[in-house]
Amino acid sequence: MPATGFVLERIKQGEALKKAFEINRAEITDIIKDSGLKGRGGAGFPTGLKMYLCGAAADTIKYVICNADEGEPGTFKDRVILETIPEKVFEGMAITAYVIGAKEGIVYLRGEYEYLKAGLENTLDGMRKNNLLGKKILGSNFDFDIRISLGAGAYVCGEETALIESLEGKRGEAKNKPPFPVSSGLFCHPTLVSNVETFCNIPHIVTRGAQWFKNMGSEKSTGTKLISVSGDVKKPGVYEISFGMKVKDLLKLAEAENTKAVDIGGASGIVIPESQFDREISFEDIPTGGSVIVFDKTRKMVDIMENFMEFFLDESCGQCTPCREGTRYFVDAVEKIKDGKITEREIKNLRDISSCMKLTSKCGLGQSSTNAFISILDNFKEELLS
Amino acid sequence: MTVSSKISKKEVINELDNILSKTNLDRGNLLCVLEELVRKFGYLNDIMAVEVGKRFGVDPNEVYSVSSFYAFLPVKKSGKYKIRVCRTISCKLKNADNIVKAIEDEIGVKFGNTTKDMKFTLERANCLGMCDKAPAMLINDKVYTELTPEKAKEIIRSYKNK
Repeated sequence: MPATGFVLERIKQGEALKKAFEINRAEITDIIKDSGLKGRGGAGFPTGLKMYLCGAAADTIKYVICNADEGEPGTFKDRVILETIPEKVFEGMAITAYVIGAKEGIVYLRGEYEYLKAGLENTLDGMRKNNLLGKKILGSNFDFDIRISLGAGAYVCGEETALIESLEGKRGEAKNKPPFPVSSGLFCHPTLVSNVETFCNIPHIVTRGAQWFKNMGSEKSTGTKLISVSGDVKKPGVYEISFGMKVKDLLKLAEAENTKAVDIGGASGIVIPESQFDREISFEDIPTGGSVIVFDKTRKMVDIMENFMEFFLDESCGQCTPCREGTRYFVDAVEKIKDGKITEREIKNLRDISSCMKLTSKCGLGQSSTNAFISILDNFKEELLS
Repeated sequence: MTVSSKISKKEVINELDNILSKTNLDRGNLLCVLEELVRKFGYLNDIMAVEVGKRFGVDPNEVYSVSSFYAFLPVKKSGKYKIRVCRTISCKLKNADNIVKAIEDEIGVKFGNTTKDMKFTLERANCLGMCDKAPAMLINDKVYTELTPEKAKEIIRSYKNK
């Protein structure tokens, strides 16, 4: 359980960018690929591969987008990053832009975080003054600048195609993939979208190398992860852990007592009972975009189900029928569980509907909205159906 | 911000001129323009949909369609101060329901409603990303955390005279 914290550390501004200019673009892509860095927003797509694909796309206009639409219930680590070390995020974006050949970067900041905007604009101004953004950055031939675009309170816009629609001034409805944004994204130009935390890792990997990064974490989950811990713990907050940390060890760090259940991955994640606290947080076992919510023995599981399903009913954009109607069906099912009126047959139906939603919804919202419900049903059946 | 029950076409046109002196008419700026209008008037109405549509060269229905998608672009009359109390689980565990009750008492309307003087609208919001400092609420773009019913009432009172 090494304390490996570096993501929230301050760095010497411009150092990584300068180093990047000394290496050729293909080599940086290889270093990131070799490091095994995967997207920190939840989906875990290999960042190096994304860079390669977007870099290889033939277009004179490309975009780098930082997904700061942190909306998953229980996640607040991107907020903490943007409050403390935004310059590192922007430098990561600049390096990425240099590699793929983009001139414009956009931070899509969720409307709920509007109060962070002024501070971020300040940081950008400072970087422009120091020639870390703007024309001919640090004496090179590379031009790049970043603007901040404000979301307007829609969870689904955290999904990259929905986010792009929103940036185009439209309803934030997800689109079918392919085409993927790396080949046809914002205004049909190749676009690389990554999470705030992912961009934060890039300057470190560029300056310290892939091997340094691979020494942390597990085989398929290299590096560290910021985890937002909330709920029934004495010390809520952001913890940087090495991938592979056991749930029970994280609970110890946050000083959780009398823990009954832990939600990992927010409303779209899973809820596990004490018997599974030996499991690990990693892409191999339980992946998470950063949300861990702890419930002690006084909590009723049906209340958690209800809160999560109401969340999805509210946030489903409604374009895919299985998601729109399915979430409603699940909210009704929670009511029946509360009244003790749910039948075995209805539970079987719920599982079928859940599979259907996974298969036929366009985006991650519909595909994952029943995860927590089904895991609670599996892990706490006796409590729910007694 | 001026919130009144009646917003004239002239006011809307003036404000749009003002906003568009700083923003160009790329479709990508539509959301930003609508956000500015909400900041000024508190909500979006038909006149705004028509006028914004004219400027951007899109149908008013399209403008309405976009606005109605987003929780922060209200398309019905809404108060000057939008109080959004987080309803998501981490805040709920820390008794966010009591905060709602306290605010309901203080402003005299129930959840989902606007006060008669058009000053406050009380809404629920999904996760505000303040789970480590729960319970939390937003009033317009300001965030308030680690609330107690008393603290929430005090904050609301400070807005009454604004």
